[in-house]
Amino acid sequence: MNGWKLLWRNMLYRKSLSLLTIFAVAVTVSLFVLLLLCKDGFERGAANGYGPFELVIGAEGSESQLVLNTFYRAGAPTGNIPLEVLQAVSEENQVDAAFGMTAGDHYNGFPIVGMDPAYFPVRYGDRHLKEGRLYGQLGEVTLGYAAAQSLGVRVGDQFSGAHGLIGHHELEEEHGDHEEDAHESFKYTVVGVLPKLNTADDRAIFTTMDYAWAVHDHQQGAREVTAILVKPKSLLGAQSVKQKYDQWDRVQAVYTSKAVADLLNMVDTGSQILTLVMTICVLLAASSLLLSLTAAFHERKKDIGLLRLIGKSKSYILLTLLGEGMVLTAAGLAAGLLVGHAAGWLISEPLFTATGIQLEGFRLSANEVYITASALALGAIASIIPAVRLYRVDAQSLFRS
Amino acid sequence: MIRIEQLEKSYRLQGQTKLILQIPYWSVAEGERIALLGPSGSGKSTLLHLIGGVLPVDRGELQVCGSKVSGMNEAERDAFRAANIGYIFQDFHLIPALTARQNVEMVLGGPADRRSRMQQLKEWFSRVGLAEQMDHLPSQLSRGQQQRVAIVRALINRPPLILADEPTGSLDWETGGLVMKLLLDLCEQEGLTLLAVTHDLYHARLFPKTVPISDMNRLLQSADGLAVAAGRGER
Repeated sequence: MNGWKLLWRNMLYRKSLSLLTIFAVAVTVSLFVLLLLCKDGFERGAANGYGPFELVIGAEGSESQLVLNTFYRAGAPTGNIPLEVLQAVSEENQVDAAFGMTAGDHYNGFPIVGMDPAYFPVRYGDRHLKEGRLYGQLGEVTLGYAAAQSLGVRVGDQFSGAHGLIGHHELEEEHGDHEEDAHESFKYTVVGVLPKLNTADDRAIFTTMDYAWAVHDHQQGAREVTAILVKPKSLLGAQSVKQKYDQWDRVQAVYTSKAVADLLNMVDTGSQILTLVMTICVLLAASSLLLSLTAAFHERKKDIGLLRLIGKSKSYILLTLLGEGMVLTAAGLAAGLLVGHAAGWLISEPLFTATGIQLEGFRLSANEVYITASALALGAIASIIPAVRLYRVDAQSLFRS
Repeated sequence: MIRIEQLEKSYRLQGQTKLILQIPYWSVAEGERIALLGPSGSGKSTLLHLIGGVLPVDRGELQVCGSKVSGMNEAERDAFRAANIGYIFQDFHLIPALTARQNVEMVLGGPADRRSRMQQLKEWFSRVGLAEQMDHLPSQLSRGQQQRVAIVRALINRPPLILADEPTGSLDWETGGLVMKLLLDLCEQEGLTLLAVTHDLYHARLFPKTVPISDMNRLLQSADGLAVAAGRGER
């Protein structure tokens, strides 16, 4: 009988312990895979999330908050700035394109964003819509791909928005009946659905910028925008525009790439903490393997004595236990990689809808090579201790009580 | 088959070396079936393990199956044992994760092709009355059946010498008798030499030849037992 068959029979004989060990390794590996997928998704989303708009101008406050709300549709805006700022920025020589954005309302959790339709060709080039056309008049909306899928609305459908941002529904309570009635009476008509853009725009509802002024009854002189997305002609141009508008009262101009880099650094710190927690999980999984094989060592001491008595070599003995540890690790690793990616695939849509982080469930990461190598190395280290103890067992041990 | 001259074996116990076995001369001819008798602690199992190459010889000469076992290192004794000895134990020592057939297959040499091996296994299991239990795990077999599997494992390669250490020690009296008879019959049919250690006089009487360990162990000849012998043997 070859060593593999003995190894297999031994694993089957103590299948509960074997399965538990595989489970511990699989859970750890799958969590690692999910963490990597999330980190990759966030980094990719952050890197692609602002297109050619190197500058963003908004109300004074947190730079990260302004960028998060403008490009990633997350969190609250820093406030509003007068419409005149947009007019002034648009006339700057150093500016290639500038688009005002109004925000503040939502429909079933998806933000309603007021934006010039010319934003789309500048940001995404010439793309065909999935359905219908881009909005053009007050009250017309074009939905992002994920928002349309999640809401189940079609071209021609109508709905009313609600005041407040996602996660800030409590603000609605503070507004009076008049405000609520205004939202209820303002009907949006769906005229199109955007193609999948793989950015936060997929989960937004776009309409003309003047919707906010219409809904909230703003007079000509009191009109405001939430942010201005600026595509400068050059980096030098970006610098001069930033310096100029930073000096305006209650206005800030932010380098988008710098704010995104700050955000990524924050995420990196978070993922380092998570990695520390995961490392503890890895040590627990390795301990589980070590305990399982140590129990096997004590259970099989007599068996090994017998094998030595009937002439099986020490290397045969060593390889059966080392092989068992490696097979358990490899099985857990394979299951973990599969489950991790499957879980990533399963949660990608709801996660994107909820947070804007887009996971590519079955995208392989270079880091998985390290996960595989590390898991196998740890499996070998955990197996080697009991395996070497068994290696030292001689035929006499069969007769010792 | 076995030839012993001036053989000595000591153990270290609690920091002291105790002489356990001192045999001036003893021999066993090929094909003999001998029951080695003696009380617990008289050194009969130690003698068996020396002959089987499990324990190293301290002093003297031991020849088994034409090989000089005394003087062999551990690896040489392992190779000698695998080629020449079939072992049967009081506690059977079947591997619990393997079926009866797989336990025997662990030692099976001989024909390489699967069909011939299967034929050989079936034939041996039929001879011990376990043709229907070949694929049972040891836990699914009675103690008597487990010992019969162990007998098949010891005999299937037809090693020239079978060593049995209290083979009926874990069985009830009646089952023990049946198992001992089966072992004797199979060894006779195969022409194998059998040396079995037992303290059960009834089972020993089934053997053509019985040898009390006191007949050969000089330490037991001049006093009233091992306790005295061990004391005198202290170095």
